[in-house]
Amino acid sequence: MKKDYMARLERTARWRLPPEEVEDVIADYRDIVGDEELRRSLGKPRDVIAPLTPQKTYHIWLAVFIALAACALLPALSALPGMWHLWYLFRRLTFCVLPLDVYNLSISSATALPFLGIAGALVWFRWKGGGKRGRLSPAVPALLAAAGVWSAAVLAADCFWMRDPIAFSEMWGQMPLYFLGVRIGPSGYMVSRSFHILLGALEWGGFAMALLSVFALVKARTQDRRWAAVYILALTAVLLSAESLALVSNMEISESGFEWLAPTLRVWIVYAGAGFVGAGATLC
Amino acid sequence: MLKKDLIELCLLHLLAQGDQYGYELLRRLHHTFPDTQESAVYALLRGLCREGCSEQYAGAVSGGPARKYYRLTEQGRDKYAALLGRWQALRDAVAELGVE
Repeated sequence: MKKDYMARLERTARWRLPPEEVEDVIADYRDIVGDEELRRSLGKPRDVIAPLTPQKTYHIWLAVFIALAACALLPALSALPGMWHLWYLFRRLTFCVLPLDVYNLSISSATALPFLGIAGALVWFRWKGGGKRGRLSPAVPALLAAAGVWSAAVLAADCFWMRDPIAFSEMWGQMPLYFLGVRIGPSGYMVSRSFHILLGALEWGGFAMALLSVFALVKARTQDRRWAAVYILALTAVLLSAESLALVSNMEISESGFEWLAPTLRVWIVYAGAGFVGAGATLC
Repeated sequence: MLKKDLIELCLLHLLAQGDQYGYELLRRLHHTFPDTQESAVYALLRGLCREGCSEQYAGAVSGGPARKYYRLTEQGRDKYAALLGRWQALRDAVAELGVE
């Protein structure tokens, strides 16, 4: 009971208080919670921590959390089937706040947000928020490996596709028809089952990585800032999945040839590199 | 003078007598103000730290985590003197009315 109460109090304190105050408060409450008489009159952990919470810094953290979570969730959610209107809603909302339409900037819609998220998390957790606490949880390297493998797999598939589109297309069914500019039926959107699997893997894989990145964000605040490395690498995976999905599902790709894809691939390799370097810097 | 000021005065008074362990401070105030929540008293103690009236340091212990102690700062002594003056003036004014 006492241990459970202390664990909940610690989580609440780490979520709501500035990192520099957390350890002092936890040290004081470890003894207070040990006193049966005092503990009975404490109330819920949230009620204990609420009066200690500096509202301004807490609201800044909440804003940062929402922004970082949106950087992962919005591109991943909007990539899911039938969810494109989320991106449209985001465009409308940003247009209300800023007098510019982000869609018309020469930045890919899927790229801008995850990239901002990676930079934001690096600045916030590496140089601003929280310290390392004891041994690194074994879940961190395991999840880093999962995000790293996913990113590497997507990038490898992109490399394969761009270097030898015909061979790649043969693996995924009807794709040569797009490349050759052959339209099937009136819409040209008929695709093979295996191509659906490829699209589904990019959509749902990217979404799973977005969920992982939000989970890691919560852990980075409440447990150990090194969890932010998982956020950064999972976000890199979201970015690569969304970019690849945007390109693979582009029906006009055959009409512009493949030459222009080489620089695009180089840019994606830079994104992936930035993600891996950012994750490494956050772990230090 | 509000109850908050009275509790702050008590905290500063206890700290003026010597460095205090956080838990000990709260336990003593719990007996003086049994109806006041510990979290509210503790928030006032942290508030005094944030204002620079007190500061925390880790005391030496043999085994186990280091205990955190609070000590009064110069700014805290000034605040203590000001609150004490207000309290004495209030007490005298109330006594003048014949309130025992």
